[in-house]
Amino acid sequence: MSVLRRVDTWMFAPAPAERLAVLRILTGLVVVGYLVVRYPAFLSLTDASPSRFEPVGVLSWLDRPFPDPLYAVLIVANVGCGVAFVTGLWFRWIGPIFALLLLVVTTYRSSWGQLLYFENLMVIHVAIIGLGRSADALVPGRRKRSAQPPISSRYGWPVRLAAVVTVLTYVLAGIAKLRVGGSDWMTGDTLRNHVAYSAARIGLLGGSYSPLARPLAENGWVLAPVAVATVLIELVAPVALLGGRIRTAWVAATWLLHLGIAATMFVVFPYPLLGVAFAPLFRAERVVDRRRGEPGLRTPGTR
Amino acid sequence: MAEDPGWFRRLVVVCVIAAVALPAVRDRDSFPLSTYPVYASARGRVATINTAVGYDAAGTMHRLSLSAIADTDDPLIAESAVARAVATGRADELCKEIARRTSSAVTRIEVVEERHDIVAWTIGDESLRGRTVHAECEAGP
Repeated sequence: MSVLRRVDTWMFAPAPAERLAVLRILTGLVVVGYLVVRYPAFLSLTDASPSRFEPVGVLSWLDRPFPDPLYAVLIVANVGCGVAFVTGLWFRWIGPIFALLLLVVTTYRSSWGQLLYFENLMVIHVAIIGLGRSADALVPGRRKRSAQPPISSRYGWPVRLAAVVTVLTYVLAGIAKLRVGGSDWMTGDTLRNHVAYSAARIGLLGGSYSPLARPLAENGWVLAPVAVATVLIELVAPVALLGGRIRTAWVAATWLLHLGIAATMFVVFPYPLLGVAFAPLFRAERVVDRRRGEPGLRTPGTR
Repeated sequence: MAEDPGWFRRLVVVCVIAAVALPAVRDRDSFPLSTYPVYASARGRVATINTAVGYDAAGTMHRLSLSAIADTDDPLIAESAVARAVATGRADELCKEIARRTSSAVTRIEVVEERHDIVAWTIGDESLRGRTVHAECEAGP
């Protein structure tokens, strides 16, 4: 079998509808929670000076900020659609609308002179799930009316695509470190300096910084192997697509990396820290199968 | 027999993967398609940080809060807001905005660029290597 054929077979392997549906529920819950918790931060943009407005991405055509009431309505509508997204009701419409609203709301938040990197993967995942057949299972009342959908590649490929996007973003982050920082990123004091910079920046701007920053700045040698490990974890991310223990080991290492960033720099990436960024790498339907007492369906690469 | 996913789904897969990878090829960062350059720089020990500080009537300096400086709880956004204001010649405008958001104990605001040995700062040693005041304004009632 040619490599291309193998890739095609892997990407379009059949999966149960529950796998994509569980991903829909997990992603939707995290996004709704994120929007609600960060609502004040999103809404604070209505008080920002228009001179700071520098639209990016799909909003780069804007020549001025949204009217304040419109932006507030977009955020609230995004939360409302997110709740419907989680339930799976009216998904043919809600899926794309939720994905579009999330793209607009988060792009707008990154359009004030500072690109934020906490939301990228979440937005791309929601687009993939929102445009897929993600509500053919685990929808309230649906089971009474229709039979269980058969396993199909139509439920498998959006999950696989989301998995590929997850690992690709980490590879890109690793490449960026080598391209921008060069080998110094791994061999020098760069990571210690990043930890110290985060503390100094927060402190000089009047915030509270991590209590771990000082001992790490004093003992920079501790971070030297962590710097090498960080770049390696990012560059070898595609091994997670192989499934099994190597995937689980990579996910655990990456999650610890995010935990370390949160603990030492007070920079929280909620989507991976809550584990949902990695959910496409697993047979997510096992969550519901366990509740029903059924074994999960095993498909290639999802051991 | 395995079902054929069809050309459309294959095209979607190729386009999404290409779109996610493209910023790295073009070296152009945006949102949500990004080069993911966060913490990518080889950072040195000395760094410049733009901020704002307040002084009370006795002339004692006070660090202002993130919300006072940029109406945010995110240091990335606050730093960016001050740096942009300085770079675009709007430090005076920002200074007045901060003055409106600060408590009555502060009587004067400075928008400043401070150069620190960040490792020394974190350890608690003397760290200031340079300081430039970009704007100054009165605060309080």
